[in-house]
Amino acid sequence: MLRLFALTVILVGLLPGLAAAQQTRAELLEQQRAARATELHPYEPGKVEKALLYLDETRLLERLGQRLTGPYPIIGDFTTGSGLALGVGFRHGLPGTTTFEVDTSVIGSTRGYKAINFEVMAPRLLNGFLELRGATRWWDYTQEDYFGLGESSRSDRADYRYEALGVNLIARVNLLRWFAFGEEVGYLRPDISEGTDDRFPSVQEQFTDEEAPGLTRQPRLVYTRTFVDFDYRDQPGNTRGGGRVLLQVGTGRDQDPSREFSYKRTDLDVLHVFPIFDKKRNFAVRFSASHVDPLNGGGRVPFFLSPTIGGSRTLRSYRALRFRDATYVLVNAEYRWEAFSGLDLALFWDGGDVGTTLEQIRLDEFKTGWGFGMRFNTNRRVLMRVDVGLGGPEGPRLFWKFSPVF
Amino acid sequence: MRHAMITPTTRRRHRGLARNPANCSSFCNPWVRLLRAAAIVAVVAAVAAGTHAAQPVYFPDDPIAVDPETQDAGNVREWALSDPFDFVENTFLKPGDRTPRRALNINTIDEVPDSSWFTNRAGAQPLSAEEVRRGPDTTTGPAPGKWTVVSGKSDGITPGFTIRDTTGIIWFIKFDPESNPEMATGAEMVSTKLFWALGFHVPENHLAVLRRDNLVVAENATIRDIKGKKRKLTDADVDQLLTRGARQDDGTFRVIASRALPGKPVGPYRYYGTRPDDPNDIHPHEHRRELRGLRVFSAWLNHDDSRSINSLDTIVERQGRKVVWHHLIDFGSTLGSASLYAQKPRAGNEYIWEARPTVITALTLGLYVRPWIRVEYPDIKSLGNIEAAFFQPEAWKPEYPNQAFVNAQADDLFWAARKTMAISDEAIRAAVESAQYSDPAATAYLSDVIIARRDKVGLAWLNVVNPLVDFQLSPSGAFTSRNIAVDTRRALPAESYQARWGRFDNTTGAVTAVGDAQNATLPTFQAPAGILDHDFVQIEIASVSKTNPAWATPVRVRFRRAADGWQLVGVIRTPDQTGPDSSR
Repeated sequence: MLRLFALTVILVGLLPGLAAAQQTRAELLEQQRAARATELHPYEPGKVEKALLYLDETRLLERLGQRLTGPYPIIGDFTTGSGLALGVGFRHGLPGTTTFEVDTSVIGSTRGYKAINFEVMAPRLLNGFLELRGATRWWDYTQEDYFGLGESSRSDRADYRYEALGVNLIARVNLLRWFAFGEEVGYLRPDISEGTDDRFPSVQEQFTDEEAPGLTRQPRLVYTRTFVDFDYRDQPGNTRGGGRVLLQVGTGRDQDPSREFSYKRTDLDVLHVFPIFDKKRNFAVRFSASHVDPLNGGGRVPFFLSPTIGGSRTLRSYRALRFRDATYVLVNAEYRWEAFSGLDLALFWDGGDVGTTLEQIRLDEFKTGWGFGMRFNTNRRVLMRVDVGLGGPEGPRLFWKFSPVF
Repeated sequence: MRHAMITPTTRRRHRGLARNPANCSSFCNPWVRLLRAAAIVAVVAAVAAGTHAAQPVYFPDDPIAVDPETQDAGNVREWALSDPFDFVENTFLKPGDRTPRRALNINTIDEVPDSSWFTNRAGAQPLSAEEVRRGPDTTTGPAPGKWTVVSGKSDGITPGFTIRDTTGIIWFIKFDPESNPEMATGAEMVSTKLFWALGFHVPENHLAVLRRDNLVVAENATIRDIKGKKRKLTDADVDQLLTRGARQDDGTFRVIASRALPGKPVGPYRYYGTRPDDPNDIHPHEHRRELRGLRVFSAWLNHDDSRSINSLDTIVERQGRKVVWHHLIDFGSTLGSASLYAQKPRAGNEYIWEARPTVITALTLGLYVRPWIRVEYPDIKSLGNIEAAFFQPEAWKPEYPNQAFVNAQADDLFWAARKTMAISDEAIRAAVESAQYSDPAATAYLSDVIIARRDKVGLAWLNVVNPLVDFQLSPSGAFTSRNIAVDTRRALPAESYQARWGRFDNTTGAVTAVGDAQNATLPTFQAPAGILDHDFVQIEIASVSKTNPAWATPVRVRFRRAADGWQLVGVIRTPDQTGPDSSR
C-alpha cells in the first residue's frame, strides 16, 4: 500500500518534469536530432546503383565506339554481313612522341569474321591541318555472299572466304573546317577460299572464274586513292543538318606481270540533311555511285573488289552484298523525327541498281524498298540502330547496327 | 532462491486471490481502494497534462529564425551518386514520400529558418544591387601571379582543371565552348549571384583570364582520364584541354574560376529522403521548403540541370561542431546555356523522357509538333537559347523529375515566388552585368528576359494562395497586412476582404470565435472588443477576387501577447493539408 502510494507520488512528480524537457521548439528539434543520432548508418547503394556507378566512374558506355586513349571495347562497327561483332582495342601515345598515337584492335563476330588492326597516326599535326595515318590490317571474312555479277538471282547465292593482309598510308590535309583532301597508298594481298556457311555452296562450286573474276588467282595489289571531302555535317556521328560530298578516284595495280586485275575506280557519295523544326525532324537524301574499270584492255576486276549494294547501309530491303557489278547507283531518302531526345524514328526509301556501265543503269529497273527504323542516340552519336527493310522481293530484312546509316 | 515467474496461471491465481473474500486483506480495505483509484486518476491526468505541456501549438521561442543543428556530423562519409541511376530512379521509380503535406522545415510563420541549407536574404532583408553583384564573393578571384595546375579533368565532355593561386587558394577552372564564347561563363556568373540572393549556399565564382604562359603544372599534378583513372598531368595534357575552350582574339581564355568550397566534400545530396549518416538531416528532402521552392527559382533561371549531380555537401565546423553544409554548384547549364552548347529548346519544357508526347510523336510520324519546338530565340551566341515570351512557369520542367519539385505545394510555390519578386530590376541588372558580356545588347537582352521571367513567375505563383503578407497587430488591436500580388502588380485588387476573429487556445489548438465577420476593401481590420484580453488571437482572412479563386481560401494568422504588443507566431495558408500546425 505504501509502495503504491510512493509510486503514485513519484509518477505524478516525474511526468510534468518529463514534459518540461521540451519547453522550446529548439529543444524539440534537438531531441529529434539526438534520437536520429542513435540510428545513423552509412549509405549502402543497391546492386543496380552499384553497377551503374561503376559504369559511370569508368565511363564505359561513353567510350563505346570512341577510340580514345587506353583500352576500349568494340561493339558492331565491322563489315557488312559479319553478324554481331565484339572486340577490344587499345590506343595510346607513341612512346617518345607527343603527336603520334598507336591504335591496335582485335575484333570477332558471331559468323566467325575476324580482324586485327594496327595503326600509327598523327591526327593533329600542324595544329590539326595535317593528319597522317599508317595501318596494317589482317582480316578473315569467313562467309561473304556472292550472287553473281549484274542481274543475279537469289537462288545463285554462294559464299566465299575472304582473307587479306593490307598495309596503307593516308595523308589528309584539313584545309578548312569543312574541306579536306588527301591521298592513300596501300598494298593488298587477298586470298579467296571456300566459305564456311554450310547452307550454301561455295563460290568455287557455283561459279566459274569467268563469272567470278579473280576466283582462281587473286592479285597482289598496290593501290592509290585520291579524295576530296566537303564535309559540312553538324555532327558526323548523328547528322541532323548539313551534308557531305566525298569524291574518291583511285587505281589498283596488279603486281603480276600480266596486270590482269589492274583497275581504276571512282566513288561519289553525296549526302544532304535538311533540318526541320530545330532539327527535331530532318529529311536526309543521299546519292551514291561507284564505277570500276580494268586499267588495261582485256583486263578484269576481281569480283570481291567490285562495287556492291545491298544491306544495312545501302539497300535495306535486300541482303548484304546482294548486287555487284562494275557500276552501281544508289539513292536513299530518309525522313527522321525525334520521338524523344534519346530516340529518333525513321521512314526510308532505298533504290539502286548495278550494271556493267553507267548507261546500263535505268531508273525503271531500280531495285527499291522501303522501311522504318529506330535510332537510339545521343546528341553526337547514334548508339544503336534498328532498321526493318520492307517492300523488296526477298521478304522483310532486319538490321541491328551500332552506327548511323549515313 | 528461484524467482517466481509470472505466467498466465499465476496471473489467474492472483486475480482469484483478490476476489476471494476469504483471502481478503489490505486489498479489501475501502481506503486502499480509494487511494488506488486516486493514484490511477492522478497518473492519467499527469500523463495527459504532461503530453499537452510537451506539445503546445506554439513554443515560447516560436517562430524560430534559425534551425538548431545541434548534432556533430563528423562521421558523415563521402558518397558518390550515379548520374544514370539518378535519372532512372527519378524518372521511373518515383522515390520519396508523395504525401501532399506542408513542408516540414518551415517555422510557424510559414518561413524557412536559416540552416545549413538556406540563409534568408531576398525578401527577408533589403538587398541592394551592389550586394547582389558581390554575391558570395570574399575575394576578387585568383590572386595575381602564376597559376599552378594541380589536377585536370579530361572526361571528354566537361574538361577543366584545378589550380592553386599564389596565396594557396584552390580554384576550379571552367571554359566556354568554342561555339558559344562567353555563354557558359556568363550563365555561371549571373546564376551564382541570383541563387545566392535567393538564399542558397553557392560557390564563389569569378570571371578570370587564363593565359597559357601563366600556367605551371605542379610536380604531383594528376589528371583523371577518360576511364576515370588518375595519372600524372603533363603540359601536353594542359594544351589538349585548352583546345576545347573558346579562345579569345588575343589567345587568352575567358574562364570561370570557382573557389573550392570550404570544408571536406562528402558528395551531393538527393532531392528525396535524408542522408542516413547525418544526424541533423531530420526532414526528408522532398519535404523541405527551400528545395520545393527551388522549382520556382529553377524555372525562373532555366536551371534545367537542377538535380543531385549539381549539388555538393561539405563538412564544415560551426559553433564547435561539425555539420554538413549543403550547396548548389555548377550553373553552367542555366539560362540559355547547356555548358557545352546552346541550351536545347526541350530543356525546361519537357523531361528527357515523357511517354505521352513520345508516343504521340512516334505515332503521328512526327506530324505532331510539340509547341516548344517552334520557339524562336535571338541569335546571340553569348547567351545561347533563352527567352521569356513562351516561358510558362507552371509548365516548366527540369531534365527529369525532381521529387522535391514534384512535392511542391501551393504555399511552397508562393513562398518562392515571393522571394523571386523581391529581387529588384536593379539587382537583376547588376547580376547580369557581372557576366561582363562584350556585347552590350546581350547584357540588355538578358536583363530584360530575366525581369520578364521573374514577373511571369510572380503572376503564376503569387496567386495560387491567398497572397496576404506582412501581418501586424498593434497593441490597440489594429490589424494590417498587404496583398503582395497586388503590390507587385501581379493581380488586380481584391473586390473585398473578409475577416473572422477568434481566441486561440495554445494548449488545445481550439479557436473560439469572437464577434461577427468583418468586411473591408483593404486587408486591414480592427480587433473586436474583448478579444485582446486573451494571450493568443487568431484572425482568419479570405480575399474575394473573381479572377483569383485561390484567394478565397482563408489565411490563418495568429498573434501572441508580448511585452511590447502582439507578436506574429502563426501563419497557415493551406489549412487543408497535413503538416505543422495544420491540425489545429
